[in-house]
Amino acid sequence: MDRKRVAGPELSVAPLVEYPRDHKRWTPQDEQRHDTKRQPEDMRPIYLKTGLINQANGSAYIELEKTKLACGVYGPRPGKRTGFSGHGVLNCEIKFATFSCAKRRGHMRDPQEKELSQILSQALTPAVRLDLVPKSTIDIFITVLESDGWGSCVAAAITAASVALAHAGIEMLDLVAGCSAAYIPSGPSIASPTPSATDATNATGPSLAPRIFMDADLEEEKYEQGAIVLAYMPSLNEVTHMLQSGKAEGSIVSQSVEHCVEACNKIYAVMHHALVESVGENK
Amino acid sequence: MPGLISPAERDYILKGIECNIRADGRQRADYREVTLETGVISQTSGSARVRIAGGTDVLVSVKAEIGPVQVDPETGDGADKGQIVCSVECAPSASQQFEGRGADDLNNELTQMMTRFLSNSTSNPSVSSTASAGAGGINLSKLCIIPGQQCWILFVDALVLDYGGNLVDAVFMGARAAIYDTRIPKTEVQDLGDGQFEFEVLDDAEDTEFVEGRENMPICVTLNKIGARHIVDASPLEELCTEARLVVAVNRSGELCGQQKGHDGGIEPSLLLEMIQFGKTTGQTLIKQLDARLQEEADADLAKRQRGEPVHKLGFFAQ
Amino acid sequence: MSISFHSPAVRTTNDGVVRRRAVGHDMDLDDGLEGAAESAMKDPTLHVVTPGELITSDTAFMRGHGTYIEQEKVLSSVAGVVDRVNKLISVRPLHTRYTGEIGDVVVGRITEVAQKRWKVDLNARLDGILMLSSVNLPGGVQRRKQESDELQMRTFFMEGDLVVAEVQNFFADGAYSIHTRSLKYGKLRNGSFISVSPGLVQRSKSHFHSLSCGVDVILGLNGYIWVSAHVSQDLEEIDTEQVYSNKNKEDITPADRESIARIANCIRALAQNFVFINATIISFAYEASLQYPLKDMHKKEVMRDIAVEATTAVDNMRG
Repeated sequence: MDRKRVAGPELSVAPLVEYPRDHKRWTPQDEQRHDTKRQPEDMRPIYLKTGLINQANGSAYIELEKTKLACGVYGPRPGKRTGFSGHGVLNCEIKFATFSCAKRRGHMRDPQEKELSQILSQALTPAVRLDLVPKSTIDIFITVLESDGWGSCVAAAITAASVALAHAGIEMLDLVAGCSAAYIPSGPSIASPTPSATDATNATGPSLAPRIFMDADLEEEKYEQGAIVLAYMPSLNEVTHMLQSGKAEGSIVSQSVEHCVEACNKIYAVMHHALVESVGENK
Repeated sequence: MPGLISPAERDYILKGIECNIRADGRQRADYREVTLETGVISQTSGSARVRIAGGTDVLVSVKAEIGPVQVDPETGDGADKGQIVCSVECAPSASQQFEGRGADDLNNELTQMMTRFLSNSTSNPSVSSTASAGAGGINLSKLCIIPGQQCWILFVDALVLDYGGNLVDAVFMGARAAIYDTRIPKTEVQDLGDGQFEFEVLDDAEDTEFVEGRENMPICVTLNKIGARHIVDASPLEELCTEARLVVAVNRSGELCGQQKGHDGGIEPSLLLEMIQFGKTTGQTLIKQLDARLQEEADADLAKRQRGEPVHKLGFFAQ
Repeated sequence: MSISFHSPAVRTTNDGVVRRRAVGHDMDLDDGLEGAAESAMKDPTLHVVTPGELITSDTAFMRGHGTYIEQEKVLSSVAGVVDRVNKLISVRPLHTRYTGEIGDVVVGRITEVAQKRWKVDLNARLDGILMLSSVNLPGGVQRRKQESDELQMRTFFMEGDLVVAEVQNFFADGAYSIHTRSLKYGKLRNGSFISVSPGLVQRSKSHFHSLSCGVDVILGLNGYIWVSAHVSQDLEEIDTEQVYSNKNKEDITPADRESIARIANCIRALAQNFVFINATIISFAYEASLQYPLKDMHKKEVMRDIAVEATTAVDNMRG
């Protein structure tokens, strides 16, 4: 039992929020996205800056409109592992702040966060030259301050961690960019298939094929029938992680993988810019 | 000693996979023989045991219990749906690396994977209102007894008894077989008026129903990338040589119900798409054969019952 | 892509298993005895005992492994078969970890690199120790050990490497001290590794066998077996600089790989059916297996048939 904190009553209910009378909730039937400024293939603008945490060897802060998270990298520092190991160890820990999601999260890491930490480590390990730092550990700590869409959180975490690793001066093969997409079913009104001109042959017919929304936010995710998160190394042209959930046809999945790869290339440019700026400042 | 392999063995396995002759003579796309039996545990609503020749042994049980519905505070969703709760545990006796805390990470990973592919996705506790069945295919609305109050909760628990490689596929095959075998008692709901309901669970052992949507449950195909090729059903030594692993969950109609990459390597996008396609076709074949086997077993049991013979499940050592 | 599902079936006890009279007091070491208890139950000369069971009250016998004396009676301390050699009574357990003698040839996997020694996993209760002074250093048998060798131990053997060695001595706590001082011992390459129960490998004159199908087999007495492509080796021509290389030979053809896989599967088939393993029976099993396609060899029925045919062939050979 957690004796250190006052937890509050066990059964708590979120307060009722009354929206203004003319507030219209977004549904997939709408022509546009929840954020009307965006097209289905657009990502949210990214604000990425290094150097947020002084104590850490490297750090990065990323904002995708309402998704905010901070990443700190410590290392390479001596590892606690006994026994020989020819290469270093990447230890990732991700924690959602208790106030970051709609429903308050606990202080302890729950199984979902533990799995996310594993996913993060699997996404970043192919890029880091761990063979150059034997017997050492590189610790990556991510705190999610505000979460607007689970997929975008994971993607932003991967992106921020790569930038923080580079900021810490750790040798890497390439930067890893992460991006996410959701499959939103189109409403009864015939929705235009995804704008990409490539094969849009949908086995279920044009009116029923889901639309691919890049970087979906929380409102859009409520209606998703599937989602994908992809981590990609642009220079080496390798996918370092892929996570797809929900039901989808094979063609939709292939399409979304291609869209995500393109988006990762764009994100890479942003990461590059942020790093160059930080190096420039310090000079 | 688990977890260690020599560079010479690694090279031998790599080159063997390149010329399509694996260390035990199989081809890249060959599975080992799978022994499957359902209804092995009497205290459950459904159970199955999957053994892969070479040592993997997984026992999956389904228990149907009655509990309160889980309503999402924001959307009000879930009031008329049942739930599926999955868990996977690797018994410490299964392998030396599983004792103590060693299996914790693996247990968590497999549990999250099962939850993601079978019930609602872990990212969104609220399922999209357009589909009352999540990716798992099970009709959750049918599991509701009194909307807003009580529903059936299916606890799907997998126990890994022995490790011989390829745990994920075995766990999902077992889950599908166990749910196929599951029988849920019928309930009678009485309207007492005033919004009050009372229900009674019919005790008749014969009057049970199958889980609706069980044919649409997905199974997984694990593809291990070694060198520039990929194999299915890896043995423990092959798993140690794996650079990257892709788990593809596919259902009977060929829809992809989830994918997850594992291990510490990268996959080139075109190879990734190829692996997804291969996983999809392999998975569909696997489901057909699995269903045929389950049907065969069910028919044999029915025939025995009709002849008045007792249906005995063979003991745990039956080969 | 192929996958087969199998249903567990009751095995009739007389299912073509070749039961042979135990030649308990015969010193012939090349027997292919059926070690299973079922044949013992039918065969009166095999005496199976459990811990605490009385073997004999005759004090004229000397007691060996697996027995203890209480009140002038010789009792068994393990579950196994009584072995009587002239005046020496011992009990040979059915399933055991490796307990070895000086002079045994063993195959082991390096688990740890410590100061001036390597720890080797031998499937025994303690790890074996391979001292730096017990290995041949590259550059000739007579090369003296230098300081730099101690710092570079990992260039010789690393964690995970497989070695074939001979038991030289015991340490006080019972750990085996092994050596690779002959040119036929050393690091293993060009093949794949199998693990069987230690009791199934019998002591014989040589443990290095070169089979007619172009495959070399090393039968470690600790149950670890190495199957590899044939490397023609003249002891004078061995390149002493290359003894610690991790590179496999370049020209392992697909046909070689198939033979290696086939032999490996034969050994697994023999082990699963509790048949003693030696070079003759492996050759017979190989011939018996040629009628089955390589990818079917992991099926239980096929393995059983191969084991049965091999034992019959050995019997016929003895006539």
